[in-house]
Amino acid sequence: MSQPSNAKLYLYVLVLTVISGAGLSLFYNSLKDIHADNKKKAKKADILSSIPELGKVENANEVFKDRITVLAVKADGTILDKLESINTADRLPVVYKEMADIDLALEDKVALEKRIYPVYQYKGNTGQNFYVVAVRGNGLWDKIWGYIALENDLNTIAGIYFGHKGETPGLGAEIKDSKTFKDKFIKKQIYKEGKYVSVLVKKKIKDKSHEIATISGATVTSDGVSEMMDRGIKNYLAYFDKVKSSK
Amino acid sequence: MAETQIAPQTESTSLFGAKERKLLVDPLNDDNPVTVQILGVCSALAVTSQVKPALIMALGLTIVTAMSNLVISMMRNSIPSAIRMIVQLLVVAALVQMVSDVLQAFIYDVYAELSVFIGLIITNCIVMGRLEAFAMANRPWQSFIDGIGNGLGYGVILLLMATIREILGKGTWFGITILSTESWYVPNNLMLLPCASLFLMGVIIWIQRGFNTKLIGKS
Repeated sequence: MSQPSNAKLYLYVLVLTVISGAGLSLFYNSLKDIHADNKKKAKKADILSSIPELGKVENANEVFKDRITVLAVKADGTILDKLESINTADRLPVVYKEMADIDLALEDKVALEKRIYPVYQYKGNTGQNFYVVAVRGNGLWDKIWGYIALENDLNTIAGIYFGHKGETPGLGAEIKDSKTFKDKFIKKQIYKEGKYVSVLVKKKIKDKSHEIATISGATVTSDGVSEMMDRGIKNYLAYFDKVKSSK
Repeated sequence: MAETQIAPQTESTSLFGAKERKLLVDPLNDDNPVTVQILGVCSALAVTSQVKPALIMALGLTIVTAMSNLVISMMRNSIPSAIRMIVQLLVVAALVQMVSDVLQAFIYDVYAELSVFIGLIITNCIVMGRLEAFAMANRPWQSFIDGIGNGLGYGVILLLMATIREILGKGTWFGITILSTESWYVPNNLMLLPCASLFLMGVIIWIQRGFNTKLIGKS
């Protein structure tokens, strides 16, 4: 069988690429809104999963709306609680539709001194309140992130959620999948004798109140968690001081 | 690498006759894509530290192999042979993206669990291997069955390896405690490392050939 000319081959590939590209584009666009809603709901469920009294939440949108108040804070402790105060011209191109949309991944596009960090204030049924803060860092393969629920003393960790984009299942991905690993953070304190020390992930534990053990076979991801916690919580220290002084 | 080249089939009167049954059953043992054809080994080594991701990967691959076999078989007479692999890759990539979009829209939990593996399906050589070895020379229905059979054959090996690795490495199966690590069982962390899957696959191939003498000498 004779081969078709190069022109015909190029035409064949071009037509096929256009058809499959257009088909995929239409397919994606038809599902785009559902994807966005799912993503928002999943983020709210992740935040709520750090609250110890909630466990796994099915109706995340409703619980989030009823129980959570979202604030934005700057590293200098400035509190911003209105959309207008965060959607300012000097922070473009980042624009949020609601406070719950504040995303540390998008904040990376904003100049360091203008970045904001979300605080999720949770009001429980029993009068127990929690402050959930967001952190973001690097794992072995890609980004990792977390939501840390602090007790009213803004010192003791009450619950934690970790997520990752592409850590190895069974190893680095255990930061998300292993309840045992996450439970190790509970009741640990981020201040030692009034000085911020964070909670570090280490191979050899010297201080049980402020250190937990690494995951076997996932040293780089564990180090990433440690660094993310230390650097991420620092952004909230001025805000914590402000809240403590107002109590 | 041994790929089974099956001759183009003549018209069959039954949709699920002896040939179709053979296409479905053979990949489970005699013509297993992983242990006999030695295809898809990379992902079989990478995703078998736990049973759940292994199962999801197997399901994803089965869907993509079956659908890409079907589409390529329908197009096979129009595809110029000089660019056939480009066309195959385009179809596979489009299907993988569609599977990803559907999961993301309707089973978000599974998508979140799986997202890292979905892209890997594109590079899985079982998909391209079956397109080249079977779908390019056979009718759509048989190609579809062949895709399902090979996906299941891949899944069987993945689940077997993941079961052994998760139980010995973590004391659990599907996250359920089987060997209590809090009382008597000390988890063997070696089983969770990639090297464990390599020697485990060697042992599985050895045992399979011990029982299935038809495979001895087959290359």
